[in-house]
Amino acid sequence: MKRRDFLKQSVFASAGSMLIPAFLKPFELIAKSNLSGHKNLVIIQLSGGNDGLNTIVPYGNDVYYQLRNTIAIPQSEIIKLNAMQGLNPALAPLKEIYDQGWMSIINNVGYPNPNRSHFRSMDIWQSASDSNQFLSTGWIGRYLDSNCQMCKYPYNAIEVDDTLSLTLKGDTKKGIALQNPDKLFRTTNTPFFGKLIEHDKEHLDEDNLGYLYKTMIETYSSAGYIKETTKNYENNFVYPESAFAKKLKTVARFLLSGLDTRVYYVSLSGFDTHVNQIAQQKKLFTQFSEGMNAFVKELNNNKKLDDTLVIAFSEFGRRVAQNASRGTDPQNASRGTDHGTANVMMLFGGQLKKQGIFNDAPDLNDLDAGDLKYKVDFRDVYATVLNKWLNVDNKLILPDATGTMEFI
Amino acid sequence: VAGWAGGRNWIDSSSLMLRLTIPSQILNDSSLNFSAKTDPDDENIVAMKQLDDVVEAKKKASGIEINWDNFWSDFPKDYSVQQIAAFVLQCKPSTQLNQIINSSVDKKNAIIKTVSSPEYQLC
Repeated sequence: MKRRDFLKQSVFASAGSMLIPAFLKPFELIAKSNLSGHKNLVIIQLSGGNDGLNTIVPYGNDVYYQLRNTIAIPQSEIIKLNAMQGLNPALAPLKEIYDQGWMSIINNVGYPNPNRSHFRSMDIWQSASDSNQFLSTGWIGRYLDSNCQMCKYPYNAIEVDDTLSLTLKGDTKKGIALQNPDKLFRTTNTPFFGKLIEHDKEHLDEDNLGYLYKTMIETYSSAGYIKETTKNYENNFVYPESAFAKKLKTVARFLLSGLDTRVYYVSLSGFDTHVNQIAQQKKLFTQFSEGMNAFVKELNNNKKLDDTLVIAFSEFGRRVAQNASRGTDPQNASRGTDHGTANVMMLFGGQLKKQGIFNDAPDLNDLDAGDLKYKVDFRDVYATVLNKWLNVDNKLILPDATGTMEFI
Repeated sequence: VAGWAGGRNWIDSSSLMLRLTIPSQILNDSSLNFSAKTDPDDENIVAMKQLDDVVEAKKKASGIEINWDNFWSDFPKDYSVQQIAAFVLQCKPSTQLNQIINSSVDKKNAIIKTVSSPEYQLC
């Protein structure tokens, strides 16, 4: 393609704006100064059911060592946070963050009648439904539906991935998924697609074809906006080489370039540790903590950490006792844990109200058939984020939850 | 299991753009650069094999043989691309799509454009 053709196709280059569908014009008109400085939410999904008890380890409780004879983390290796709990050694890069007061740990987060299926429990966490309720929208999707000032366009909520999670799908609005600005731009802003949407009025009916065209036009326009805006910032921080860290680096770039995006979504998968948990968690925790360390520091260096809240969750925790060995030979022990219930949530940011450990460690003497009892409903965490951080009335999105927790 | 949400629910920017670009990528014999999320029920396999979080489906769309002759032979010899497009699409193509089809360099190109349109996604 010739440069001239490229410029003609580009949403931002055309002086006459001939390619910009009328209803998308406000994209350009929003002055950056109106929106910069807004608060951002970054959601990190740890998929597979991360074992919270080997994440933030209750090393002060003997029961932990009794029930996990081959997979407990030895006291000597634990990075102690208080007299009861400490970090898995593979999370060492988080200690620095923790010591700065940029990390908060909420214990025993879950929901009533927990479900042990990965699929179903993730669905519950993403849609923020009750255990016996099936919702086809995600909680951030419903936030977009609420029509607030900062949730009008797909790029107001971005998932750094090739596919969009239920979390970001609303009834009338959806977020946008992209691995990086260039890739999305390349696939969408082709001369063919540009020509297809040239006379947009024809397609803006409420029928199905109109909906497809509307989605296509929004994607086309968002891709151009994201690519153009992210030119404002180049990461000036070294990130580790993992795919997860790369995603965080992309989020940091988006955040720091002044993109009008309030919610970012990133996932890290592989936490279903029925077997050889120590090695697998170590590998994932290294990726997680090194990535987070770089991310938080880059935001802080650029004075953006105070406007950022990160919440990390998993669809469930794991059973308190490690699982039985497979066969009688102790050498064949699976050294893992099975699907459980309540879990730990990790929060990061510059404006945490209660830094460090937010509430009591899991009570290992008061279990429900070998599982932790939840003390905090995850929807109260979400509702608090909606109310206090994203400044929307949580009743529109999570009618039954209370948005008054004191972590922010 | 939640099952499939109906109606427009499956359509988001990424799923739509993937569907719009698959035909041209396959028919132009290029590669698909797309990674799907791990299926929740495969999480234990990922954990066991200690694989990376996503397996990049970055391979050539191999095993696909493109037989245009076979395609053309499905239509009467005197059929124009417009007629073929009208047959393939379930709705009337937009003015723009019509223009694109009419001004394509050859028949093959016209068909690829036809099946890369939002119109083609309707059934």
